[in-house]
Amino acid sequence: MNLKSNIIALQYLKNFNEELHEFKRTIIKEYVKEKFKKTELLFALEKLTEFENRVYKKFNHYLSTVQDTEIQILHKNFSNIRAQCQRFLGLYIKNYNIKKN
Amino acid sequence: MNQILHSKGIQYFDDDYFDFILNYHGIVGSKYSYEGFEDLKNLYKLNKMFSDSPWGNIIDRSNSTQYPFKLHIRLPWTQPKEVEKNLDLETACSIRVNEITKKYPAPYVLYWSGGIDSTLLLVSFMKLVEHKNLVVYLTKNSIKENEYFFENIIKPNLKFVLNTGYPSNNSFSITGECGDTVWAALDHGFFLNQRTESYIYKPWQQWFETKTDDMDFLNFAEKFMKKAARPIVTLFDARWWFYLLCKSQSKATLLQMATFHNSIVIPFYESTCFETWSWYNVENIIKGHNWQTYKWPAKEIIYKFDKNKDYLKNKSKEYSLDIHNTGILSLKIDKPLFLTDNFEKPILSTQPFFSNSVYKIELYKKYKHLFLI
Repeated sequence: MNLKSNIIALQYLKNFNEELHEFKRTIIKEYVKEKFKKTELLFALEKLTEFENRVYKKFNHYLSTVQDTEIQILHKNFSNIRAQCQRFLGLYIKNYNIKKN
Repeated sequence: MNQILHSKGIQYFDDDYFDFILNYHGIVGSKYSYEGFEDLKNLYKLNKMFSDSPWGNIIDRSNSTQYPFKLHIRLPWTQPKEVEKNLDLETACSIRVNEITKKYPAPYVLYWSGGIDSTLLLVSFMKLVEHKNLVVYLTKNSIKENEYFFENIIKPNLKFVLNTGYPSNNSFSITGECGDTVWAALDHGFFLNQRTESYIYKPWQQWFETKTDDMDFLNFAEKFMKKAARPIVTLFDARWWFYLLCKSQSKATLLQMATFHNSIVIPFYESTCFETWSWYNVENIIKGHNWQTYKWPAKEIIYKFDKNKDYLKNKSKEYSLDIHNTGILSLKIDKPLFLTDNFEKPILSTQPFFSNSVYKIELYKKYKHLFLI
């Protein structure tokens, strides 16, 4: 992979990192509005952080194997990962709220 | 001579990553909308009539939809026979227990969430199988959901394992999966939703027409409902038929997709006997159109066994997400890309990132025959 592709890939990772942190801030705001309990918030954050760390670790492996021509699919990769996080927490929070009601 | 067993079809695919694979194999399009596969696109539209954000595979078990890969159907749809008309739910449960115990040797690991489906599964096994051959896997939330059953039935009679991981190997895990689709997969979001509530018992066409004016799709939907070979009149009927035919395989394979799950998973309700019962009893799924009486016939069988009046009268559906939290909805780093008919679970070393070049090296050769349509 050449330097230019590497820079693009890292830019995607940086954007993803920012989005994920924004996402965490949103969850915390929801917690403040008493949408769910502290234990639920901690569980969700722990899951996300665990996932985030593993994504970064795998990203290095990806960079070492990926070809220049594939860099454009990286954006879709990150979109998928973000969608997974949202779905996971969406269902989790929905389930919690239904049980609470 | 060693014989290599090749996979012949795909029984589950990961929605998030499957488009990458299909595109690599020359299929153009994404998310059920692939060039040359119009019916599949219409099935996805049909799913969107019942849910704003559909998830889980859409697998038409009538085998009348063409897919851009070789599909393995676990339980092909067969129209119930007239002689089976009077099959009651309790008998269907016994038939299923016998089916399982004839095919698989003891011991049996039974997953219990405390909900109606898994409690009926436990009751059915306890009536017919020696208790020393049963082990119940449960969590703290299972006990919370049905404390009476735990204290009075499980604790004094059965071995149980609290809050651990999955059984590692050499065991047969029986879950309440596919119970949902036998019971029209009703959830709070659909049944108690202000938008859909007033349409549930009206002709399904009325609801569909509020969502789309695409005549080709509406004609497709008419044909789809006719395949049921029984009257599909209301929106409730339509949902029952779509979920039973097209979503139950997805439910059956969810737990098997968890990579760390090495035992064989047997969805209790994935059986022709339950589908037959359901086909003849759509009107009995929710008695009196009341959420508290949803799955009433199942609750009656449970009551006969445990005599818990409170559960019979007040228990309603809850989301039992404990298993999901640890496995199914885990964020997909080592989740297989798909599951084959012979239970192979391919994973790419770069996951959660998909790479064409890594796919070519690691998986293409082994699985290309599944995509030659």
